[in-house]
Amino acid sequence: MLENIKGCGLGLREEFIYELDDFEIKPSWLELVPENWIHMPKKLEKIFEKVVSEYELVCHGLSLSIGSHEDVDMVFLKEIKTFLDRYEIKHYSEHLSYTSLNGIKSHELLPLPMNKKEVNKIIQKVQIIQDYLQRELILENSTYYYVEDSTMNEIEFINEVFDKSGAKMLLDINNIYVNAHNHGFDAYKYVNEINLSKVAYYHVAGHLEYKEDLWIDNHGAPVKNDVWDLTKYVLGKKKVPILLERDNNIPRYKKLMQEYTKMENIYESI
Amino acid sequence: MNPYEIQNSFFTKVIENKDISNKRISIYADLILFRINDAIKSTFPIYVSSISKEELEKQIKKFIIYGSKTSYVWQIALEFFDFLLKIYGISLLHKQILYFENAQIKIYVSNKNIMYKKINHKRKYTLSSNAFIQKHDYNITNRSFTKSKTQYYLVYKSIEDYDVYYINISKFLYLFLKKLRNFNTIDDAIKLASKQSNIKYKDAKSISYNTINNFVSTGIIL
Repeated sequence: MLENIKGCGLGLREEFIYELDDFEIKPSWLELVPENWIHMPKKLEKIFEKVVSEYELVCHGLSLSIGSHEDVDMVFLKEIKTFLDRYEIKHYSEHLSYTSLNGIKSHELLPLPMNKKEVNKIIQKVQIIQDYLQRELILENSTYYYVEDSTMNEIEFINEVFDKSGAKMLLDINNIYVNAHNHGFDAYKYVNEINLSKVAYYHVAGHLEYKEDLWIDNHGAPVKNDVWDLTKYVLGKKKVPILLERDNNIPRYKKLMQEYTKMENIYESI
Repeated sequence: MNPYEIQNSFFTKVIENKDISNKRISIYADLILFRINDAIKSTFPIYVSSISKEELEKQIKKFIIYGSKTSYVWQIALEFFDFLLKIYGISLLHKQILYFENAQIKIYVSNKNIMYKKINHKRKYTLSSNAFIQKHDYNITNRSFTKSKTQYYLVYKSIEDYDVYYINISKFLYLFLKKLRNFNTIDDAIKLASKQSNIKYKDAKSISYNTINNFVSTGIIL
Protein backbone atom coordinates (compact mmCIF):
# COMPACT_ATOMS: atom_id res chain seq x y z
CA MET A 1 0.00 0.00 0.00
CA LEU A 2 3.00 2.30 0.49
CA GLU A 3 5.19 2.50 -2.59
CA ASN A 4 8.60 0.88 -1.96
CA ILE A 5 7.92 0.29 1.74
CA LYS A 6 7.83 -3.41 2.50
CA GLY A 7 8.24 -5.65 5.53
CA CYS A 8 9.75 -4.43 8.78
CA GLY A 9 11.18 -1.01 9.54
CA LEU A 10 12.92 0.78 12.35
CA GLY A 11 12.63 4.33 13.69
CA LEU A 12 15.92 6.04 12.87
CA ARG A 13 17.60 7.85 15.77
CA GLU A 14 20.76 9.89 15.84
CA GLU A 15 21.95 7.67 18.70
CA PHE A 16 22.61 4.75 16.33
CA ILE A 17 22.83 6.26 12.87
CA TYR A 18 26.54 5.39 12.66
CA GLU A 19 25.87 1.77 13.68
CA LEU A 20 23.44 0.79 10.94
CA ASP A 21 26.19 -0.93 8.95
CA ASP A 22 27.67 -2.73 11.96
CA PHE A 23 25.03 -5.40 12.26
CA GLU A 24 24.40 -8.16 9.73
CA ILE A 25 20.62 -7.74 9.80
CA LYS A 26 19.45 -4.43 8.40
CA PRO A 27 15.99 -2.89 8.67
CA SER A 28 14.07 -3.08 5.39
CA TRP A 29 13.15 0.58 5.72
CA LEU A 30 13.49 3.45 8.16
CA GLU A 31 11.21 6.06 9.61
CA LEU A 32 12.57 9.42 10.74
CA VAL A 33 11.20 12.45 12.52
CA PRO A 34 11.68 15.33 10.05
CA GLU A 35 11.76 17.94 12.83
CA ASN A 36 14.95 16.29 14.11
CA TRP A 37 16.70 16.46 10.74
CA ILE A 38 15.46 19.61 8.98
CA HIS A 39 18.12 21.76 10.65
CA MET A 40 20.65 18.98 10.99
CA PRO A 41 24.17 20.09 11.85
CA LYS A 42 26.88 19.75 9.23
CA LYS A 43 28.40 16.92 11.25
CA LEU A 44 25.43 14.66 10.45
CA GLU A 45 24.87 15.61 6.81
CA LYS A 46 27.23 13.06 5.30
CA ILE A 47 25.93 10.06 7.24
CA PHE A 48 22.33 11.21 6.75
CA GLU A 49 22.80 11.41 2.99
CA LYS A 50 24.32 7.93 3.00
CA VAL A 51 21.31 6.58 4.88
CA VAL A 52 18.92 8.33 2.48
CA SER A 53 20.71 6.75 -0.47
CA GLU A 54 20.59 3.25 1.03
CA TYR A 55 17.16 2.97 2.67
CA GLU A 56 13.54 3.56 1.79
CA LEU A 57 12.20 6.19 4.16
CA VAL A 58 8.99 7.41 5.74
CA CYS A 59 8.86 10.74 7.56
CA HIS A 60 6.92 10.71 10.81
CA GLY A 61 6.25 14.21 12.09
CA LEU A 62 5.43 15.54 15.52
CA SER A 63 4.55 19.23 15.22
CA LEU A 64 1.86 19.45 12.52
CA SER A 65 -0.84 19.80 15.20
CA ILE A 66 -3.66 18.91 12.83
CA GLY A 67 -6.25 18.94 15.61
CA SER A 68 -5.65 22.41 16.98
CA HIS A 69 -8.13 25.23 16.58
CA GLU A 70 -5.78 27.34 14.55
CA ASP A 71 -4.88 27.43 10.88
CA VAL A 72 -2.34 25.01 9.45
CA ASP A 73 1.11 26.51 10.01
CA MET A 74 2.09 27.00 6.37
CA VAL A 75 5.61 28.18 7.22
CA PHE A 76 6.23 24.93 9.04
CA LEU A 77 4.53 22.92 6.30
CA LYS A 78 6.78 24.56 3.71
CA GLU A 79 9.83 23.43 5.70
CA ILE A 80 8.44 19.89 5.78
CA LYS A 81 7.76 19.90 2.03
CA THR A 82 11.20 21.28 1.23
CA PHE A 83 12.78 18.51 3.30
CA LEU A 84 10.61 15.75 1.77
CA ASP A 85 11.29 17.02 -1.76
CA ARG A 86 15.01 17.48 -1.20
CA TYR A 87 15.47 13.88 -0.08
CA GLU A 88 12.73 12.52 -2.37
CA ILE A 89 10.79 11.04 0.54
CA LYS A 90 7.35 10.06 -0.69
CA HIS A 91 5.59 9.23 2.56
CA TYR A 92 4.69 11.52 5.45
CA SER A 93 2.81 10.46 8.57
CA GLU A 94 1.66 12.47 11.57
CA HIS A 95 -0.58 12.17 14.63
CA LEU A 96 -4.30 12.47 15.11
CA SER A 97 -3.86 14.94 17.95
CA TYR A 98 -2.66 18.50 18.50
CA THR A 99 0.46 19.99 20.03
CA SER A 100 0.01 23.75 19.82
CA LEU A 101 -2.55 26.47 20.32
CA ASN A 102 -2.45 30.25 19.98
CA GLY A 103 1.08 29.95 18.58
CA ILE A 104 2.37 28.23 21.74
CA LYS A 105 3.91 24.77 21.37
CA SER A 106 3.42 22.18 24.09
CA HIS A 107 5.76 19.64 22.44
CA GLU A 108 3.35 16.93 23.59
CA LEU A 109 0.58 15.08 21.76
CA LEU A 110 -2.65 16.36 23.28
CA PRO A 111 -6.07 14.66 23.07
CA LEU A 112 -8.81 15.57 20.62
CA PRO A 113 -12.50 15.63 21.44
CA MET A 114 -14.21 12.87 19.52
CA ASN A 115 -17.20 14.50 17.84
CA LYS A 116 -18.52 15.43 14.39
CA LYS A 117 -17.15 18.98 14.51
CA GLU A 118 -13.69 17.62 15.13
CA VAL A 119 -14.05 15.15 12.27
CA ASN A 120 -15.04 17.98 9.91
CA LYS A 121 -12.13 20.13 11.03
CA ILE A 122 -9.68 17.27 10.43
CA ILE A 123 -11.16 16.59 6.97
CA GLN A 124 -10.62 20.23 5.93
CA LYS A 125 -7.06 20.29 7.21
CA VAL A 126 -6.14 16.96 5.61
CA GLN A 127 -7.22 18.43 2.27
CA ILE A 128 -5.10 21.57 2.73
CA ILE A 129 -2.05 19.56 3.84
CA GLN A 130 -2.30 16.95 1.09
CA ASP A 131 -2.79 19.60 -1.60
CA TYR A 132 0.25 21.51 -0.41
CA LEU A 133 2.55 18.55 0.17
CA GLN A 134 1.42 16.77 -2.98
CA ARG A 135 1.46 13.59 -0.96
CA GLU A 136 -1.10 11.48 0.86
CA LEU A 137 -1.17 12.24 4.56
CA ILE A 138 -0.94 9.26 6.91
CA LEU A 139 -2.35 9.80 10.42
CA GLU A 140 -1.66 7.78 13.55
CA ASN A 141 -4.18 6.82 16.21
CA SER A 142 -2.70 8.54 19.25
CA THR A 143 -2.78 7.60 22.89
CA TYR A 144 -4.99 9.78 25.05
CA TYR A 145 -5.29 9.83 28.81
CA TYR A 146 -8.20 12.22 29.02
CA VAL A 147 -10.87 13.28 26.60
CA GLU A 148 -13.67 15.80 26.87
CA ASP A 149 -16.54 17.09 24.76
CA SER A 150 -16.88 13.71 23.04
CA THR A 151 -20.04 12.32 21.53
CA MET A 152 -18.39 9.42 19.70
CA ASN A 153 -16.30 6.50 20.90
CA GLU A 154 -12.78 6.12 19.53
CA ILE A 155 -13.73 3.54 16.89
CA GLU A 156 -16.56 5.70 15.53
CA PHE A 157 -14.28 8.74 15.50
CA ILE A 158 -11.35 6.99 13.81
CA ASN A 159 -13.51 5.26 11.21
CA GLU A 160 -15.29 8.49 10.31
CA VAL A 161 -12.05 10.50 10.06
CA PHE A 162 -10.47 7.97 7.70
CA ASP A 163 -13.63 7.24 5.70
CA LYS A 164 -14.18 10.92 4.96
CA SER A 165 -10.79 12.62 4.96
CA GLY A 166 -8.88 10.60 2.38
CA ALA A 167 -5.97 10.23 4.78
CA LYS A 168 -4.32 6.86 5.21
CA MET A 169 -3.99 5.31 8.65
CA LEU A 170 -0.89 4.53 10.65
CA LEU A 171 -2.23 2.10 13.22
CA ASP A 172 -0.13 2.06 16.37
CA ILE A 173 -0.74 -1.30 17.99
CA ASN A 174 0.78 -0.30 21.32
CA ASN A 175 -1.50 2.75 21.39
CA ILE A 176 -4.54 0.49 20.97
CA TYR A 177 -3.30 -1.62 23.86
CA VAL A 178 -2.56 1.36 26.15
CA ASN A 179 -5.84 3.12 25.29
CA ALA A 180 -7.78 -0.10 25.85
CA HIS A 181 -6.27 -0.42 29.32
CA ASN A 182 -6.70 3.24 30.26
CA HIS A 183 -10.26 3.55 28.97
CA GLY A 184 -11.55 0.05 29.66
CA PHE A 185 -12.25 -1.35 26.23
CA ASP A 186 -11.26 -4.59 24.53
CA ALA A 187 -8.23 -4.13 22.24
CA TYR A 188 -9.18 -7.14 20.08
CA LYS A 189 -12.75 -5.90 19.65
CA TYR A 190 -11.26 -2.54 18.62
CA VAL A 191 -9.18 -4.24 15.94
CA ASN A 192 -12.25 -6.12 14.70
CA GLU A 193 -14.27 -2.94 14.39
CA ILE A 194 -11.72 -0.50 13.04
CA ASN A 195 -11.71 -0.06 9.25
CA LEU A 196 -8.40 -1.73 8.44
CA SER A 197 -8.73 -1.04 4.71
CA LYS A 198 -7.29 2.42 5.37
CA VAL A 199 -4.16 1.16 7.16
CA ALA A 200 -0.87 1.95 5.42
CA TYR A 201 1.49 0.62 8.08
CA TYR A 202 1.74 -0.28 11.76
CA HIS A 203 3.79 0.89 14.70
CA VAL A 204 4.80 -1.15 17.73
CA ALA A 205 6.54 0.28 20.76
CA GLY A 206 6.98 -0.13 24.49
CA HIS A 207 5.01 1.63 27.19
CA LEU A 208 5.24 2.44 30.88
CA GLU A 209 2.80 0.91 33.34
CA TYR A 210 2.91 4.10 35.37
CA LYS A 211 -0.03 3.44 37.70
CA GLU A 212 -2.50 0.59 37.86
CA ASP A 213 -5.12 2.56 35.98
CA LEU A 214 -2.81 4.78 33.93
CA TRP A 215 -0.29 3.47 31.43
CA ILE A 216 1.87 5.88 29.47
CA ASP A 217 2.96 5.49 25.87
CA ASN A 218 6.59 6.46 26.47
CA HIS A 219 8.46 4.45 23.80
CA GLY A 220 11.08 3.90 26.45
CA ALA A 221 10.97 0.14 27.06
CA PRO A 222 10.84 -3.12 25.11
CA VAL A 223 7.51 -4.10 23.57
CA LYS A 224 5.39 -6.09 26.05
CA ASN A 225 4.44 -9.68 25.22
CA ASP A 226 0.74 -8.81 25.26
CA VAL A 227 1.42 -6.18 22.59
CA TRP A 228 3.29 -8.77 20.50
CA ASP A 229 0.25 -11.05 20.81
CA LEU A 230 -2.01 -8.24 19.64
CA THR A 231 0.45 -7.56 16.81
CA LYS A 232 0.12 -11.16 15.58
CA TYR A 233 -3.65 -10.79 15.63
CA VAL A 234 -3.58 -7.47 13.75
CA LEU A 235 -1.12 -8.75 11.13
CA GLY A 236 -3.38 -11.77 10.66
CA LYS A 237 -6.25 -9.43 9.83
CA LYS A 238 -4.19 -7.29 7.48
CA LYS A 239 -0.53 -7.66 6.61
CA VAL A 240 1.10 -4.32 5.85
CA PRO A 241 4.57 -2.98 6.76
CA ILE A 242 5.35 -2.63 10.45
CA LEU A 243 7.84 -0.50 12.33
CA LEU A 244 9.51 -0.67 15.73
CA GLU A 245 9.70 2.69 17.53
CA ARG A 246 12.05 3.54 20.37
CA ASP A 247 12.49 7.16 21.49
CA ASN A 248 13.60 7.01 25.12
CA ASN A 249 16.11 4.88 27.03
CA ILE A 250 17.45 3.84 23.64
CA PRO A 251 19.54 0.66 24.06
CA ARG A 252 22.64 -0.23 22.08
CA TYR A 253 21.81 -0.83 18.45
CA LYS A 254 22.61 -4.54 18.70
CA LYS A 255 20.07 -4.94 21.50
CA LEU A 256 17.45 -2.96 19.60
CA MET A 257 18.01 -5.17 16.58
CA GLN A 258 17.23 -8.22 18.72
CA GLU A 259 13.79 -6.76 19.26
CA TYR A 260 13.58 -5.87 15.56
CA THR A 261 14.40 -9.51 14.74
CA LYS A 262 11.59 -10.66 17.02
CA MET A 263 9.21 -8.39 15.10
CA GLU A 264 10.53 -9.68 11.79
CA ASN A 265 10.01 -13.29 12.88
CA ILE A 266 6.42 -12.53 13.83
CA TYR A 267 5.88 -10.72 10.53
CA GLU A 268 7.32 -13.55 8.49
CA SER A 269 5.28 -16.17 10.38
CA ILE A 270 1.96 -14.62 9.33
CA MET B 1 -18.26 26.71 25.56
CA ASN B 2 -17.47 26.43 21.84
CA PRO B 3 -14.85 23.90 20.59
CA TYR B 4 -12.06 26.50 20.64
CA GLU B 5 -12.86 27.51 24.21
CA ILE B 6 -12.90 23.87 25.32
CA GLN B 7 -9.51 23.25 23.70
CA ASN B 8 -8.11 26.50 25.04
CA SER B 9 -9.26 25.68 28.56
CA PHE B 10 -7.54 22.26 28.48
CA PHE B 11 -4.41 23.67 26.85
CA THR B 12 -4.15 26.46 29.43
CA LYS B 13 -4.52 23.96 32.28
CA VAL B 14 -1.72 21.69 31.09
CA ILE B 15 0.56 24.61 30.23
CA GLU B 16 0.01 26.48 33.51
CA ASN B 17 0.23 23.23 35.47
CA LYS B 18 -1.42 24.33 38.68
CA ASP B 19 -4.37 23.15 40.72
CA ILE B 20 -5.07 20.21 38.41
CA SER B 21 -7.04 17.77 40.49
CA ASN B 22 -7.67 15.27 37.68
CA LYS B 23 -4.59 13.05 37.39
CA ARG B 24 -5.43 12.24 33.76
CA ILE B 25 -5.08 15.93 32.95
CA SER B 26 -2.10 16.49 35.22
CA ILE B 27 -0.19 13.70 33.44
CA TYR B 28 -0.11 15.93 30.35
CA ALA B 29 1.39 18.78 32.39
CA ASP B 30 3.98 16.32 33.74
CA LEU B 31 4.82 15.03 30.25
CA ILE B 32 5.31 18.57 28.92
CA LEU B 33 7.55 19.39 31.88
CA PHE B 34 9.53 16.17 31.35
CA ARG B 35 10.06 16.86 27.65
CA ILE B 36 11.24 20.44 28.13
CA ASN B 37 13.41 19.43 31.07
CA ASP B 38 15.01 16.73 28.95
CA ALA B 39 15.77 19.17 26.10
CA ILE B 40 17.36 21.67 28.47
CA LYS B 41 19.37 19.11 30.44
CA SER B 42 20.92 17.71 27.27
CA THR B 43 21.73 21.15 25.83
CA PHE B 44 22.92 23.03 28.92
CA PRO B 45 24.54 20.39 31.18
CA ILE B 46 26.85 22.84 32.97
CA TYR B 47 24.05 25.30 33.64
CA VAL B 48 21.80 22.52 34.95
CA SER B 49 24.57 21.35 37.28
CA SER B 50 24.98 24.89 38.64
CA ILE B 51 21.44 25.28 39.99
CA SER B 52 19.19 23.22 42.24
CA LYS B 53 16.63 20.81 40.83
CA GLU B 54 13.88 22.91 42.40
CA GLU B 55 15.13 26.15 40.83
CA LEU B 56 15.45 24.47 37.43
CA GLU B 57 11.89 23.17 37.66
CA LYS B 58 10.64 26.62 38.68
CA GLN B 59 12.38 28.21 35.70
CA ILE B 60 11.10 25.58 33.27
CA LYS B 61 7.52 25.88 34.53
CA LYS B 62 7.65 29.68 34.03
CA PHE B 63 9.20 29.19 30.59
CA ILE B 64 6.39 26.80 29.58
CA ILE B 65 3.81 29.41 30.59
CA TYR B 66 5.79 32.12 28.77
CA GLY B 67 5.46 29.86 25.72
CA SER B 68 7.71 27.95 23.39
CA LYS B 69 7.20 29.08 19.79
CA THR B 70 9.42 26.63 17.95
CA SER B 71 8.35 23.44 16.21
CA TYR B 72 11.81 21.96 16.74
CA VAL B 73 12.80 20.31 20.01
CA TRP B 74 16.49 21.24 19.62
CA GLN B 75 15.54 24.93 19.56
CA ILE B 76 13.69 24.77 22.90
CA ALA B 77 16.89 25.33 24.88
CA LEU B 78 17.75 28.38 22.77
CA GLU B 79 14.31 29.84 23.54
CA PHE B 80 14.88 29.01 27.21
CA PHE B 81 18.20 30.90 27.06
CA ASP B 82 16.44 34.01 25.69
CA PHE B 83 13.68 33.68 28.27
CA LEU B 84 16.13 33.52 31.18
CA LEU B 85 18.14 36.46 29.93
CA LYS B 86 15.33 38.77 28.85
CA ILE B 87 12.39 37.84 31.07
CA TYR B 88 13.37 35.76 34.09
CA GLY B 89 16.60 37.42 35.15
CA ILE B 90 19.61 35.41 36.30
CA SER B 91 22.98 36.03 37.97
CA LEU B 92 26.23 36.92 36.21
CA LEU B 93 27.54 33.40 36.81
CA HIS B 94 24.53 31.82 35.16
CA LYS B 95 24.59 34.29 32.29
CA GLN B 96 28.22 33.45 31.61
CA ILE B 97 27.59 29.70 31.71
CA LEU B 98 24.64 30.03 29.35
CA TYR B 99 26.56 32.26 26.93
CA PHE B 100 29.27 29.60 26.87
CA GLU B 101 26.92 26.65 26.27
CA ASN B 102 24.65 28.56 23.90
CA ALA B 103 27.64 29.53 21.73
CA GLN B 104 28.47 25.86 21.26
CA ILE B 105 24.94 25.03 20.09
CA LYS B 106 24.81 28.03 17.75
CA ILE B 107 28.01 26.98 16.05
CA TYR B 108 27.08 23.29 16.02
CA VAL B 109 23.85 23.86 14.09
CA SER B 110 25.23 26.62 11.86
CA ASN B 111 25.29 25.61 8.22
CA LYS B 112 27.92 28.13 7.27
CA ASN B 113 30.81 26.57 5.43
CA ILE B 114 34.21 26.60 7.03
CA MET B 115 36.67 28.25 4.65
CA TYR B 116 40.38 28.81 4.97
CA LYS B 117 43.27 30.26 3.02
CA LYS B 118 47.03 30.34 3.28
CA ILE B 119 48.27 32.76 5.92
CA ASN B 120 49.15 36.27 4.75
CA HIS B 121 50.27 38.68 7.45
CA LYS B 122 49.38 41.70 5.37
CA ARG B 123 45.84 40.62 4.52
CA LYS B 124 42.85 41.69 6.64
CA TYR B 125 41.29 38.87 8.64
CA THR B 126 38.29 38.40 10.86
CA LEU B 127 36.99 35.78 13.28
CA SER B 128 34.92 33.12 11.51
CA SER B 129 31.18 32.96 12.24
CA ASN B 130 31.92 29.35 13.21
CA ALA B 131 33.90 30.58 16.22
CA PHE B 132 33.29 32.63 19.35
CA ILE B 133 35.66 34.14 21.88
CA GLN B 134 34.43 34.62 25.42
CA LYS B 135 35.79 36.05 28.66
CA HIS B 136 34.42 34.71 31.94
CA ASP B 137 34.87 35.41 35.64
CA TYR B 138 34.40 31.72 36.44
CA ASN B 139 36.16 28.54 35.44
CA ILE B 140 33.05 27.26 33.72
CA THR B 141 34.59 24.22 32.07
CA ASN B 142 35.78 22.94 35.45
CA ARG B 143 32.30 23.58 36.81
CA SER B 144 33.79 25.87 39.41
CA PHE B 145 31.08 28.33 40.30
CA THR B 146 33.01 30.72 42.53
CA LYS B 147 34.74 33.75 41.06
CA SER B 148 38.23 32.94 39.86
CA LYS B 149 40.97 34.33 37.68
CA THR B 150 39.54 35.56 34.37
CA GLN B 151 39.18 32.73 31.90
CA TYR B 152 39.44 33.23 28.12
CA TYR B 153 37.81 30.71 25.79
CA LEU B 154 37.76 30.04 22.09
CA VAL B 155 34.74 28.01 20.98
CA TYR B 156 34.96 26.76 17.38
CA LYS B 157 33.68 24.20 14.91
CA SER B 158 36.29 21.75 13.69
CA ILE B 159 37.07 21.55 10.01
CA GLU B 160 37.78 17.83 10.47
CA ASP B 161 34.56 16.47 11.96
CA TYR B 162 32.22 19.49 12.17
CA ASP B 163 31.99 19.00 15.93
CA VAL B 164 32.28 21.93 18.33
CA TYR B 165 35.26 22.28 20.65
CA TYR B 166 36.50 24.84 23.15
CA ILE B 167 39.97 25.70 24.35
CA ASN B 168 41.29 27.96 27.06
CA ILE B 169 43.37 30.68 25.43
CA SER B 170 45.69 33.34 26.78
CA LYS B 171 44.62 36.91 27.34
CA PHE B 172 46.88 37.92 24.44
CA LEU B 173 45.18 35.50 22.01
CA TYR B 174 41.76 36.61 23.23
CA LEU B 175 42.67 40.24 22.54
CA PHE B 176 44.27 39.33 19.22
CA LEU B 177 41.08 37.56 18.05
CA LYS B 178 38.99 40.43 19.40
CA LYS B 179 41.02 42.95 17.41
CA LEU B 180 40.56 40.81 14.30
CA ARG B 181 36.81 41.22 14.61
CA ASN B 182 37.41 44.76 13.25
CA PHE B 183 39.06 43.37 10.10
CA ASN B 184 42.65 44.16 11.00
CA THR B 185 45.69 42.56 9.44
CA ILE B 186 47.32 39.86 11.54
CA ASP B 187 50.29 42.15 12.21
CA ASP B 188 48.07 45.06 13.25
CA ALA B 189 46.05 42.82 15.55
CA ILE B 190 49.25 41.44 17.12
CA LYS B 191 50.47 45.01 17.68
CA LEU B 192 47.23 46.11 19.32
CA ALA B 193 46.86 42.97 21.43
CA SER B 194 50.50 42.95 22.57
CA LYS B 195 50.24 46.59 23.64
CA GLN B 196 47.17 45.84 25.75
CA SER B 197 48.76 42.69 27.20
CA ASN B 198 52.08 44.42 27.95
CA ILE B 199 54.02 42.01 25.74
CA LYS B 200 56.68 43.13 23.30
CA TYR B 201 55.40 42.99 19.71
CA LYS B 202 58.35 40.90 18.49
CA ASP B 203 57.93 38.39 21.32
CA ALA B 204 54.18 38.19 20.78
CA LYS B 205 54.64 37.61 17.06
CA SER B 206 57.20 34.90 17.55
CA ILE B 207 55.34 33.08 20.36
CA SER B 208 51.99 33.15 18.63
CA TYR B 209 53.19 32.38 15.08
CA ASN B 210 52.27 28.65 15.09
CA THR B 211 48.96 29.17 16.88
CA ILE B 212 47.85 31.93 14.52
CA ASN B 213 48.96 29.88 11.55
CA ASN B 214 46.81 27.07 12.90
CA PHE B 215 43.83 29.43 13.33
CA VAL B 216 44.12 30.34 9.64
CA SER B 217 44.57 26.78 8.38
CA THR B 218 41.54 25.56 10.37
CA GLY B 219 39.27 28.40 9.30
CA ILE B 220 38.95 29.94 12.77
CA ILE B 221 40.09 33.23 11.29
CA LEU B 222 39.28 34.11 7.71
